[in-house]
Amino acid sequence: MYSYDQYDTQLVNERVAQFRDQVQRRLDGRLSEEEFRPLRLLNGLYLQLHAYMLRVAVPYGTLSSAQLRMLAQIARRYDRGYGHFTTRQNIQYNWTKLEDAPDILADLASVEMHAIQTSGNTIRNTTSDPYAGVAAEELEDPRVYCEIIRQWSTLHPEFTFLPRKFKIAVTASPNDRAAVKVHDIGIAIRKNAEGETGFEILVGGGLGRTPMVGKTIRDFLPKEHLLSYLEAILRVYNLNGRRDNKYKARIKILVHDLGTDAFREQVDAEWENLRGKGPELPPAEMERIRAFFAPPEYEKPGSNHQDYIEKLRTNAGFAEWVRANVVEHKQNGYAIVNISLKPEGGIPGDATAVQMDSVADLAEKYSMAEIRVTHQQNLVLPNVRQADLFVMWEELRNQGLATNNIGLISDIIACPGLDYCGLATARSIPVAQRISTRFADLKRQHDLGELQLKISGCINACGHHHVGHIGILGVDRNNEEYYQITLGGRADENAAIGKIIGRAFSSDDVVDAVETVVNTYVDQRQDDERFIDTYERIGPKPFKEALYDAA
Amino acid sequence: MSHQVVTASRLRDGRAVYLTAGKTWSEKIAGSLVAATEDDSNAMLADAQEAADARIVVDPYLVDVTLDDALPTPVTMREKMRATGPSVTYSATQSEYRQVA
Ligand code: SF4
Repeated sequence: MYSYDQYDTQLVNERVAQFRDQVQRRLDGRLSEEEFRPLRLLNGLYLQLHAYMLRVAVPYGTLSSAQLRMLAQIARRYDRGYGHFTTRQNIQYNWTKLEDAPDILADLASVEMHAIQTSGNTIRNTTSDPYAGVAAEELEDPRVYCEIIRQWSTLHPEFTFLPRKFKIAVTASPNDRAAVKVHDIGIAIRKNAEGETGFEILVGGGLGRTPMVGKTIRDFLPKEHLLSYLEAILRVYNLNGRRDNKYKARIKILVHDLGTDAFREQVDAEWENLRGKGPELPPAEMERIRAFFAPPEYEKPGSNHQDYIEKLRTNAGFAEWVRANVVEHKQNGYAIVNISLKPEGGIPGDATAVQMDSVADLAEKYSMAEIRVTHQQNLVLPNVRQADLFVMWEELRNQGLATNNIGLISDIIACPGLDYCGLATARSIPVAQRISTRFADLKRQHDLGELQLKISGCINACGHHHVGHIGILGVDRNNEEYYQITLGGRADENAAIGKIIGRAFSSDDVVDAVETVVNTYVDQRQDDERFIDTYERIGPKPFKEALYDAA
Repeated sequence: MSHQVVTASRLRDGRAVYLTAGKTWSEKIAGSLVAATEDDSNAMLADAQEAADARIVVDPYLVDVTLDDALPTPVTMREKMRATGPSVTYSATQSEYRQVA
């Protein structure tokens, strides 16, 4: 893992002191709310429906056990004993107080964390593959570049007041688990014909009011040019992105209005000025950062490996959990373990302080003290010996953390919605809970197979509903909650925006509607088709008929 | 005109609060002062603005309510939610919550 050098430490500590002073000046009246609001937002502090909400950055979703323990402690000391992991691999606290915020930030700084640029029209936390560094099929660890981008973008003076927020994601795997095609900039590490690794650069993807799939503007960018090229893109956007209309201010609108080719030309022209002169990446610096992410010393699979095989054979519950939640590791004898934060009827992404502490302990015992947060709002232990899986599973079960539903219909992404969020038009969480309860039967879920269901409480689409195989968007109709269903979205390497299937359903009817959609799939599927395969083969018509014709 | 109450967020902790007859702020909408005329609403909003200037609350505004046995109930979903708090039991183990001083 990366660890702070003197510059990081100084910067974060100075920021805490600065914010402490700003909060004090707000409380004693030297700053008005108008003056203070942008300052608190630059530190991740929102004023939501019921309280201040603090969003803490988890850089590219990687946490140490010590950091996760601190997140638990903050939940206990300053909040109500829980936190909410978000679709941007961050964590939010829903019940913080303004007067506590400086102390929380100081506690975070003590474990090399902060809330800088988790809000505002800035470059946000760079997200990545939760299996980075351990996935069997990846080219190299993408977090090296995420960290480089983090350093470059943190408090970048030129990009502190962009037209709108800006999100970058990096993947190094052909199976895209970082949704790079729906980010402002998506970076995919690729090999060229000469066998060198570099970057494919996509721009203009995004969800929200105008969902779009990103366009490739460069097939292969040599590594040393990463920052100068990103800077060129950001400059073109900063200059030409619209500032007159918040809903048209994201880079996707600029790319769309200009056309991909014209946008690329502008970037290339800017890049001509920057290349070699702007921020480039000297190989020594790249190597310095890479060293932080060097693979740990893995053990050879020992004799107790046989026990693992035996347990798989004899314990059906364990075998099912392994099948659903455990993923192949690049290292023989090791495994990647997903910890579902989607228990039956639970709140997607919520974890209590007790659970955070126990995951931190388990990581320390079994996963080299490292944890990942996924954009699916789950946690991952990336480095577990197969021989330890069984004992770990038993410990997870004791904490209610062994739900074996990764990738299944109850592994729902849901934004906070109207239960917490000031921008929401409808609730998301209760719908997620009811769907999770309706499909509680795990046998049925496994029979249904991979099915990504995503719920947003408003058109801002924090719950990624546009790219759910089944997406649900909450809308307000004369002060009543209605839910619009979209089908056929996907967030992977074949990213697609789902299509609205028809008129919206009332809160009472939406769960039945989801079940109708699912049953239609079951009726129509061939062989071992997944939901999305069936939908892509037969199209929306049978689903539409099932949903609306009977009525 | 429909009935109205004044709400705001309390500066120190951000909690949703409602203006009471005694010009104090309550976390419970049940205790709020209800305006029945536009003049009442304007007067209440002026009081609330004073409280904002005195740094007690942030961003006060009027909320339409209906009266149910004299109990004000907001009209919109958003304001209903602010008045009642989240409709979900946050975290499976809500009882674990304890405030550490
Ligand atoms: S999608 Fe809307 S309701 Fe949900 S968290 Fe985002 S802004 Fe709030």
